[in-house]
Amino acid sequence: MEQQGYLEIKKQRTNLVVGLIVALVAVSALVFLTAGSEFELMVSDLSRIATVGSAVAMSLVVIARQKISGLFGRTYTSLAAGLILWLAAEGVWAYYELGQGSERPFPSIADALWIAGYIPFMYYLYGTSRFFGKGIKRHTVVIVTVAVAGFMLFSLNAILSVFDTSDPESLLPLAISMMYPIFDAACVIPAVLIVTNAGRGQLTSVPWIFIAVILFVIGDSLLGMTLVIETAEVYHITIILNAGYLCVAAGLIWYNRMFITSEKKLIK
Amino acid sequence: MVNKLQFGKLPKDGDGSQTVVRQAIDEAIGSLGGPIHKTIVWHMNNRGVFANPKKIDINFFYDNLRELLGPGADMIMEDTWEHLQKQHGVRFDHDFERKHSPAEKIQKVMEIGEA
Repeated sequence: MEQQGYLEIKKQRTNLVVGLIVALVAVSALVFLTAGSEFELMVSDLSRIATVGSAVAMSLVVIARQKISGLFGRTYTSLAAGLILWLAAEGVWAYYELGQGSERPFPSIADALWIAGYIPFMYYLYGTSRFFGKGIKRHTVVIVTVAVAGFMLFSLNAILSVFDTSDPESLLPLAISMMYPIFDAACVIPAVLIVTNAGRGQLTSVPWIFIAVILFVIGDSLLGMTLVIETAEVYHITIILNAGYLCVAAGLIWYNRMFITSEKKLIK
Repeated sequence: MVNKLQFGKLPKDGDGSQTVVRQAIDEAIGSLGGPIHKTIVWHMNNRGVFANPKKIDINFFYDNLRELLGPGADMIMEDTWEHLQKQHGVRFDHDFERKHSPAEKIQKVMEIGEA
């Protein structure tokens, strides 16, 4: 029975990985093929809304089944709150780009929502780190923290170089721009540590949501670079962010299936 | 070898200490959330870990938990040990406490309780 249970878990994981790859390829192909065309903005914005929307939908299913008590109840509720804020941010951004068709304001309500979303996301990451991160060596923590802090300082320096700090009107946009690498650094430290600590446990070997956070931070860093080098080509960033959102959705599907066992299965 | 164990409120008979350890495990798993508790217990039952409700082989439990949850198993063992310390006042001397894992300390408590 134990062996059968393990094979079932393995089969479910393979199915999920295949499903994730298919979804990733389909969404990425759509974004790639419309890049540079008149549909680029629409496909880009709507694809991100669809992928983060799928993650929000799964997070609500998890809350409905699991409720909000216990370490996982609290952290997954927080994750859902973060995803809802990011869905709202993507929606507002799409409204600016597609609805208004005007110059996108910066900073905007979308930025406020994105930045607000980091807080519940960080609660999830740090809250579950004690569970997923047991056994991480102290020197690994130091190395990852120093590397991330170094990259954050490099990003902050690059952002500072494109703003006129003597102009009082540029101070708010500068402050908002600097918040992204700071929050990204705070999120990516536990994410990298957990991913390096992964691979063990039939239910826990793939840290889907932590992998997603690394993708978000890569996407954000590339977005920051476009600000510095002033390029308009951002379709590859949409592909990376979509991959992150789909990875979160996959992680929530896995959690919903494997961690919240149905009453029917429990009785068997 | 006596490791200056303080039993506190822990029963000094084998059955009593087994029951208390089992309760502490339940509390530790339960702190993750109700549905997760049910899932982990279900997996452990399928593996025969909780076959005897009055007796638990802590090493067998830990091995199976690690196989299922990877690093999360260590958090559960740590919380179980903390629960035994806080609720039942179980203590080892500082040296033993520092050098041994929660699973080893719980095992020692049960061995001494059974002796």
